[in-house]
Amino acid sequence: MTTTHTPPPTTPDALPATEHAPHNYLNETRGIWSWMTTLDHKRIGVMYLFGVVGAFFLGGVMALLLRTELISEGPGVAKTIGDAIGEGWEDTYNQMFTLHGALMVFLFIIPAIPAAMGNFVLPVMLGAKDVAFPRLNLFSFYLWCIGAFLFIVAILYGGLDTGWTFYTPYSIDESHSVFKGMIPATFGAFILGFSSILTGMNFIASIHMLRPKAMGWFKMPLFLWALYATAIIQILATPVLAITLLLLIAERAGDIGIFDPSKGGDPILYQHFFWFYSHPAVYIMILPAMGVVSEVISAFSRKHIFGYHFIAMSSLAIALLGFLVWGHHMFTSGQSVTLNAIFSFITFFIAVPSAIKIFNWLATMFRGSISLKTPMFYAMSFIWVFSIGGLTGIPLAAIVTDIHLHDTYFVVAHFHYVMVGGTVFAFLAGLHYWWPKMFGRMASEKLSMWSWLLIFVGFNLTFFFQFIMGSHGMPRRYADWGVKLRELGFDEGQIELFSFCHKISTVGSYVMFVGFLLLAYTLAKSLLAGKPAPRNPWGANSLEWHCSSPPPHENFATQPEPNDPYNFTGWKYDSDIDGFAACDPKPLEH
Amino acid sequence: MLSDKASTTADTHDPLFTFIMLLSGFFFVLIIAVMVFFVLRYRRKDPAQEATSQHSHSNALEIAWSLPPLVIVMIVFWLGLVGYMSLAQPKANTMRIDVRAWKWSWEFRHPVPGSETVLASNELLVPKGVPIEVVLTSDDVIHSMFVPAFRTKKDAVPGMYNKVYFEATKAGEYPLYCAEYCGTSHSTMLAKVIVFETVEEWAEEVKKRAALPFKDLPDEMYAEWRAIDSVEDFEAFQAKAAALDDEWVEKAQGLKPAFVRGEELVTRLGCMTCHSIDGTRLTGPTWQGLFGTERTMNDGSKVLADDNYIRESILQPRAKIVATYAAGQMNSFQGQVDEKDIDAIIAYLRTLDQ
Repeated sequence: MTTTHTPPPTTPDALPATEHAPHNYLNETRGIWSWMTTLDHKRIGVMYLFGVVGAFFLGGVMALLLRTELISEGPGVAKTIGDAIGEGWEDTYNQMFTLHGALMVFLFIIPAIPAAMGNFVLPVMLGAKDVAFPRLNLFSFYLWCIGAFLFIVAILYGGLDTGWTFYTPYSIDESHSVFKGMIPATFGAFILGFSSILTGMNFIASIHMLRPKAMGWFKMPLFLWALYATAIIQILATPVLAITLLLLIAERAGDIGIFDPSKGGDPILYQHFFWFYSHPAVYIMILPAMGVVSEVISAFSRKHIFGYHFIAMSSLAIALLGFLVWGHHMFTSGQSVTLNAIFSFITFFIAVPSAIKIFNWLATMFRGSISLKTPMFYAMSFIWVFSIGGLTGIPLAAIVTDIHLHDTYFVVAHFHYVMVGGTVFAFLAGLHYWWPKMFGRMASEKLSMWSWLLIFVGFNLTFFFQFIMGSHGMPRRYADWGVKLRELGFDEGQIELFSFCHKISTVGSYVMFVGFLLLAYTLAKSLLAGKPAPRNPWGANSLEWHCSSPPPHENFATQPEPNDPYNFTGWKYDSDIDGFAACDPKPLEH
Repeated sequence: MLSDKASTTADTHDPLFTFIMLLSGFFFVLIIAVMVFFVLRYRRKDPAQEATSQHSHSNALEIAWSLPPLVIVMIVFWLGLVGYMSLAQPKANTMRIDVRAWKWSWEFRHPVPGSETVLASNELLVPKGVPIEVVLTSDDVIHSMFVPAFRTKKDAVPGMYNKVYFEATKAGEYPLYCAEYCGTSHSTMLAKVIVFETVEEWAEEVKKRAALPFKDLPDEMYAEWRAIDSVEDFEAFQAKAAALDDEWVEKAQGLKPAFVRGEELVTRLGCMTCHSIDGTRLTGPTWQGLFGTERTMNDGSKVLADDNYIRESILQPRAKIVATYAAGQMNSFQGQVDEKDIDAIIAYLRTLDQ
């Protein structure tokens, strides 16, 4: 890549005179009404942030209850809750894992990085005042709220116990799934889908139309490439989910017989429809995460990102391949041998762009100046957990091994390593990275590191042992793992292993929970009493670091002239502000 | 990372699984070791420290680290596919066991040796060293039969017959799980698999269990039951049983083999007007020797006349038309037969050998 010498993107006098703008997007107008009617992408991003964190908290509480139930054999905490709400303990457990999955997937993981962070960062990275369609953006947020509200209604109205996958015919027959929350929850997921589609459209339009002339496609920060690839999936795949969910509602409410075998329907057809969306959705979750990691690793190594084109193109490759692999969820369903072979074959190709990203991140760190701050620790944790998540995908892509591992805890561990490990660790990397920009306050590095340690250790304790019990045959979605085995006389061997792994896993989840509590405390403390953040605490060079922390309402007084986002020579460390001050950038010698 | 193995599937599965785990372990350690080394070596000791290189691209390196993963995953794909193909295809001389799942129980129907009758049990009994074909279906929602010791899993889908093949290699008792979430008592939908050392031991146990309902009757009544081959045979058995004991009028009805019910059904539904069982060509194809053979359709395609084909032919007779036969001659029996009736008709067709 050739880099021409360009002046700093914005001359200092185009910016507010101080590091901390007296007038910024947070204090420009006041009052709840000004937030509810705001068209400012930054405020919408912050509202999303609070929304998704709320959903994450609820989903997390469900997860803790599940783990508590599984710490020992026989009815436990699910019975206590079940007695209180008048349900059997197994039904209570089944509702809890359904809600955990549905809340986490639809309300947290899918919108977390694109809608919360993407909204805040994307226009600033583009040097724009806002997204292309600010009103649509606010509308998307309200759709998210309506979807979330419908989920709450579903819980209060009687819950649902179908699993977040809503498999037919279980989900369509009221004698099977007695819970009345099914229709509101499905409708909620349908509405959330529209929020996702509209946000994707908004981002694509913004990236096409609002880029400054000097910012060619290959001069965009990689986070924008990741959001662009994500938006393509959101637009192309989510409508299929919407159609599928509508059919499901029609089937449940009107008995039309598309999926119901007793009426000539095909329950496997539903699985095809569902995974045609939900597999690409996995990449809606992970691609933005990879974008965050690319930004953080380069900035914290003070080194130009390695293999820019390969990282950008691998995002598109993953987005494209993601559409062609859904059948690998169905190797045991009775799908033909030919289809199984084709889906397995295509699935393996995803290993290549994923490996390319990891190797390029490592190469970026080579001979860098690696700053060991919290965002970097989360980014490196991402490499750790995503490597485990990715590599354990190999035995799930190979048909003969998947047949054994399918629907066991091995799969549970695998997708938690990819989705929690991948998305949540990258989300936390991004949260710590952009926190000073969002709120103009630094968080305590010491407390942040402690919460990182607890979350990282807790996460690995929780999920690593699930690989072991899964490969030994522990099926997923089991309210109990011991009583029936003992009843059948299998009271030795496996059951001791299941017991051991479940106990460690539960303890790990508590450690993780303490970590998240500490994290919440750390960030709350920073909001109230944190040290004011300098304009550029990390020395990164994408455009959001050129405006003050927090940015003013209009981001930039005039459209900035961007240069290479990974040329960090325009920023020198200044101990007075404990951050980086602008200086003349030099062209890089590659 | 794997428990005891007890099937030929496990012999195929385990080496590949171990290979993948070692491979993954190697790459994971490599990635983390490189990362940790870089962190220690290039740590920023002074906040103003700059990187010592800005090298940012190398096509040679990109190719060098893209190709090995591609080659490795293609090898793993191939091994996974070959292993799977050897398991997904029927072998010669398989023993067929029908499995019906419902909330929240299993029924395994074993052939009773030397007889057309079956033993229905909530335990799966198999001999060592005999290839088994399991044909699964479900009464209500989707279930999945999972035997970790066999490394075998297959979904039981309502309205569909799924097949899975395995061969046990070690005598013993193993747990069988439902692996597809199916509601309230999903986690107690377990069963026991018993593998017998020899076919003889297995046959003895199956016969012993099949004889259990006859324990209050003379031995020859059980022999009579096992010899049932048609509706007439069953009626004769029923008459004899009733003559012995009043209670047995009803009990004998409960012992009616599925294929007898199938024969009654096809007679009642009038199937025989168009389908012969002795090879005669009528309006529709004969049923003699039909089951399990490959048929040529009028569009030239080949179709295996298995459970799914029979089911489709009953419910959607116009979906596939056998070559040389006129289309549109048969109407759907949807609504006139339920899934258990279809099971019975299939059981009957299976008795009509060449």
